[in-house]
Amino acid sequence: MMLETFKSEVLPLKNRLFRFAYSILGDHDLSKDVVQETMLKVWEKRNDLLTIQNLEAWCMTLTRNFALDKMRSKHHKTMALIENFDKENNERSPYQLAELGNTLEVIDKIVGNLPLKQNETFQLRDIEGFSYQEISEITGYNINDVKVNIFRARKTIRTNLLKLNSYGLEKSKNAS
Amino acid sequence: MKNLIIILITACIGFSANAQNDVVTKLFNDYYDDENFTKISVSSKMFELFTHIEPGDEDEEEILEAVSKLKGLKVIAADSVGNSKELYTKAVKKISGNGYEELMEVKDAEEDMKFMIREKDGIIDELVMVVGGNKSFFILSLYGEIDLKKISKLSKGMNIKGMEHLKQLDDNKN
Amino acid sequence: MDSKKVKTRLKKYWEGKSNLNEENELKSHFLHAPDGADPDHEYFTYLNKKSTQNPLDDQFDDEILKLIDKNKQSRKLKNNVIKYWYVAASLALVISVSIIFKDKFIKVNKVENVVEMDTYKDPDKAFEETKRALLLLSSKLNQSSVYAAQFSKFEEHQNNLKQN
Repeated sequence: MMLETFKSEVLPLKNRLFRFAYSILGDHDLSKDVVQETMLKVWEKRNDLLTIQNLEAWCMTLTRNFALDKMRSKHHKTMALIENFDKENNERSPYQLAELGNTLEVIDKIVGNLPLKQNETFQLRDIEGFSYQEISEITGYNINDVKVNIFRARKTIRTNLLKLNSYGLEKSKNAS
Repeated sequence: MKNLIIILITACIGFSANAQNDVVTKLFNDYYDDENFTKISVSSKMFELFTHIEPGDEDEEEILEAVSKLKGLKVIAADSVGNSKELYTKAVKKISGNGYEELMEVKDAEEDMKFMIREKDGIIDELVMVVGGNKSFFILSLYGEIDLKKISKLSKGMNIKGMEHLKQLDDNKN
Repeated sequence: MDSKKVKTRLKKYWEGKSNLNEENELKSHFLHAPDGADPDHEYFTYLNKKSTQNPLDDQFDDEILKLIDKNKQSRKLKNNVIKYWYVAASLALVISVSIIFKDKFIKVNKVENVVEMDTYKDPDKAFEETKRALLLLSSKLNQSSVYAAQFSKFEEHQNNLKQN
């Protein structure tokens, strides 16, 4: 790959890669590092790209690997994060969440509390618009797993939102 | 001194090309100074060294077995050249006829591919693959005792477009 | 999209049965819909907002390109090292060939010597490259043998090999 191709096809993926890394790490600087590592890796491997059919999906895979590495790294303070990801952590009630701020932030919290698998697949599908096949390539989960996890993620978010909404209505009724 | 070295190199390259009378080596030298092309060359000495490598897993074991009878490898590759189709036609023209026999040719919307072989006593001792895509161009030449069946089997277990392979590389680093 | 269509699409979406196209249509519908306080509206607004967040700017590109430039230079250095290695190797070759020449130059085994240049000095690196090349060759072989016009020839070779 020549520099021009890199500039026109790889660099523009930066924000997409960043959003994905951020969804895993939840930290701006770390995510930026991950995107940088990804870019350099792609450049380093530029001569092997002949064997790669879907450049974008491949970049996402690299980003995912780097991000997961970062997350696992012992030096990383947020070990607790992983524990949160691993268990089905939806304990926080939507009422508590409602106190946190506007709805978008609330959804952010709900998404952040999803188990890793659901979080990742949801991110790739509903934010980034990848096909099930591509998501399966990026994450290594099989297609059925991908579909099920996306479904569960959406369901959790919706259930919480609906609860929140009825709570909000009640609250405004009481106020009047 | 510098001139002497250059003369020596030229002499050596010229000499080796002569001794082998091998088209791919000539092509290799043609592109040698062109930065747009990636050139890979692995010698028979190096292939001998491969026998000392410990296989990391089953896939690697299979590959080590497949390379055990090989004597050399050359690759010329470019993945964004405007005249890839032209290069393809030129290379195929240069190669065919020089004692090479066509094994198969595939043309589809994405790329043209041609496989050529040279045999001795029913054993393939050289295989050349030329690929011309929309912007990519690729020549791979393999020397030694070549077992097509073994080679075509290799990718079946690893059909993940090289990603798996890359993962291994990363893991090794860490 | 009229509201009825939106409703059916939403139902399909929450049941996990929508395809990418339908999902994109939903997203763009809510992008243009007037503000609303229902959860669906908020949800899709969230998706739209998230997917257009671009925290990295041109400065990031510059950083990457700078790093790449450095990388390139160190590569050139490496190339030079290899070039000198060629010189050494070539000298050795000339010497050894002249020794062989004394006896019977013509009998130098061609196959043994087909490739005497090495792009890599490190066997591990060379093996990685060889592995990659073989895998590519392998996948192309498989890909083509599906279409191959001269499939029989390929078969014939495989059979020959089996017998040997």
